Amino acid sequence: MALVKHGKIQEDAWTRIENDSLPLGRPLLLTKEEWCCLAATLRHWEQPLGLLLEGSDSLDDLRPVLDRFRLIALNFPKFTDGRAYSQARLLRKRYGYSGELRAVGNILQDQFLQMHRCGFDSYEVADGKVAEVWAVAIHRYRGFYQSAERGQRREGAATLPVEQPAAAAWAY
Amino acid sequence: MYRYDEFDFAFVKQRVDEFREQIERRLAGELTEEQFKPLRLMNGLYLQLHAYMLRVAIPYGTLSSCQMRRLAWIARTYDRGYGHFTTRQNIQYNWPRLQDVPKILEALAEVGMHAIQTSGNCIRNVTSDPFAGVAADEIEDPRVYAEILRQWSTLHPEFSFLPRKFKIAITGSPHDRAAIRVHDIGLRMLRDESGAPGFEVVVGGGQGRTPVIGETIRKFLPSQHLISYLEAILRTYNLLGRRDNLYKSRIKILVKQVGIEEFRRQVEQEWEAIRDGWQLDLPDAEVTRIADYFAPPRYEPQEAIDLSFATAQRQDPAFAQWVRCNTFAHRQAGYAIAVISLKPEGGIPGDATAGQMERVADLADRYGFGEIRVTHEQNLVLPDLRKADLPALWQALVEADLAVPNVGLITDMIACPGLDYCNLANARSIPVAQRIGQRFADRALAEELGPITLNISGCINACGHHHVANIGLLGVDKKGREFYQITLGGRADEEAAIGDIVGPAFSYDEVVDAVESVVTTYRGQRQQGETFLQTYRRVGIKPFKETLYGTG
Amino acid sequence: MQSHVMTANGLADGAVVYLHASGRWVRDLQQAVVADTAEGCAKLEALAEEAVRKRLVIGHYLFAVSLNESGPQPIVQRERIRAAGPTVGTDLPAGRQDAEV
Repeated sequence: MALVKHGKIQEDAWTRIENDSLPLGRPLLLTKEEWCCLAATLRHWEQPLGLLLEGSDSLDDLRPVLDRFRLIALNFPKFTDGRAYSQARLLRKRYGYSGELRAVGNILQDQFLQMHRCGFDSYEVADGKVAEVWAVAIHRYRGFYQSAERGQRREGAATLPVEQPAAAAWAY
Repeated sequence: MYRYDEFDFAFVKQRVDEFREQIERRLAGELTEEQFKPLRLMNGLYLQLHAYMLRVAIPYGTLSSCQMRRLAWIARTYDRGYGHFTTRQNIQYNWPRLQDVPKILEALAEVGMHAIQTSGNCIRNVTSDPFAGVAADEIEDPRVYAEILRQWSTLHPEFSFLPRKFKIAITGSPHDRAAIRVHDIGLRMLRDESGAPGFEVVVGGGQGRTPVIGETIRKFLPSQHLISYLEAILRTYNLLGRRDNLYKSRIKILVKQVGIEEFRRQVEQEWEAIRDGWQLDLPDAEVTRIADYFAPPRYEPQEAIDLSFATAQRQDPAFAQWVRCNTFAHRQAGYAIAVISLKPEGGIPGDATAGQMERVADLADRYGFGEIRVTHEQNLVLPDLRKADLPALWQALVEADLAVPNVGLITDMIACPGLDYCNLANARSIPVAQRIGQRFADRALAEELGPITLNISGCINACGHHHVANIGLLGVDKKGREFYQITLGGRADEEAAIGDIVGPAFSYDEVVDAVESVVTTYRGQRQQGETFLQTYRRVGIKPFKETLYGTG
Repeated sequence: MQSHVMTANGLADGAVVYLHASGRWVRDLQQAVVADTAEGCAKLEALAEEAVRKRLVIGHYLFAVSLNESGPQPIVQRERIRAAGPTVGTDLPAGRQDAEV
């Protein structure tokens, strides 16, 4: 696995709970269930905390504690499972989460742009080669038809007003 | 009609480039078929029984003559000289090669067309009333909002991998010609007491293996909130719709499962949270900009009643019949709407040759401001015709084999491609339609029977809209043989209803006789001036069962 | 055991093809290789999977045939239509001409 962030391969510093022990000295990524069990234990934990969420995890109840997390990773069990796109937008826009948002699981390079537009910052991918195409994907379109977390929404006619029947405005 | 500006042209071109690269990666082995399939579907490309199939979007069924000529050119250059107009107002080509698809999409992009989101688990091409903007009974022109929805839904980053496909239909007239109650979201434009425009929002309708008539989730939504409300519905569905079972993943199943009240509560809660803060409402200037495209053409003021139109009808009964069956009331005095039937008796419903497409384009230019519509019944429409031009237009249609006077009659059948083309089908649809067309080829008889919708689907997915037909035929497979189940009493309009199953299915050889038996029963039971539906509602299913099966 | 033929669609052109005894894919069902043992079917399956890996075909599967003097005949309607084309009974107009393989 490789971590792509801003089009570059980066070291993944985050670690998970293994064999029932809390690793010290490194940022810690918890599932929602783990967080619920350990919230009290981790009250004074000083290392950065992250959350790994599934598509079925509700977000509402996390709202009061979101600022505890430096990273939220949203899992795509299949690349065709689009729940995390909505979760990302809710986290960003409704709940004001401003930390790192990461896409993990089964994702395609063809989805970088829409993930980026929904607010994702980093991507855990099987093959680091796709880091090269990230920038191409992000800049493929000059604008969009709808507002999202990123990407300029087209506002108004880009060229000529309607009344002007110049051939240049439309090719038919 | 809407015309692309520089932004739209560039956007579609960028999409073509993206898909071309994806095709190249597929052919180079960088994408597996499993990965490629959802990507190609979102660009309208299927793999069917004999070949790939490309479904091209005709947004809300509206085309210019130039676009129609391009469709004809594509049919001739990259396909086998014809195209098939679909029940979602699109056109599909049955024989394109994968390697040609980027060239086809480039040719479409040049005339402001594309195949974006004509398939896939995303928001599909928005459909509307084919008489939008010209219907005499229209309250508000739905095309402005249909175009707004087309733009909003195009490559929406959040809603491109929904649990299942998502279809939106919008109408602006009390008489529903867009079948909005059998869509995932149906929108009916109306005005509140103060005269402000808005929508009745219907949700969770659909056909397929679980036919459902949609329920009203909101009686009146002010039009400026359309996008935020739809985002609330889509987000709720995206998060909660089932993803474990393909057959239970449409929004209609979610709405049934939680109940309309609970679903409404969740949507309204989401909407309250995003309505004001998310800046989803379009600026007035943008709505006005789009609305300007749909300003009516320069109609000639009617200075006197033109008698030539009436005279021509008196002199030529065939023309008179075509006028009775195929023309409809226009909001502008002296003008008419004409439907060009793509249902010649014995022909393939919805198919048009490249030559016919070009002829229709020429006639649209000569008589109809260069505009053409596609109906969900798989016919074409010239929406803006001077009544005085109708005799000459009709003559030209006769010469092109496009003057069949059967709109709304029993031979104006909807038929899916069925087992002749489709990978999912269990039985053929087209040859059944052809044989029924031949059986009812007597045009005087067909007209005498009055309005009857007869729709044929080749499998339970119901692309042929059989559930909402007065007479519906559903093809099923029984041990490798084709059988057809008959339903009666369905309808797709503002009083939408699902048809009742009349009894055991009939074989391919028996089914045309069975349809004739239904018609004969209707004629026997019919009272003066009744339509098929009125008779059916009065007498019920029993007499039909008796003649079909000899039982009670 | 019931006789079977391996079919698929060409990746690049989408055309219906059948596996030939040579390992090539042909348009004509009559030329297809017929398997009538489990081992024979498994061999066709392996050849087809190889062709999928080489990106020649997609959507491969075995289907049942009967045999007569002119070769394998499909048993179900779907395969008859795939082999012979649509049954819609009108002459298709002129358009792109495909070269036969």
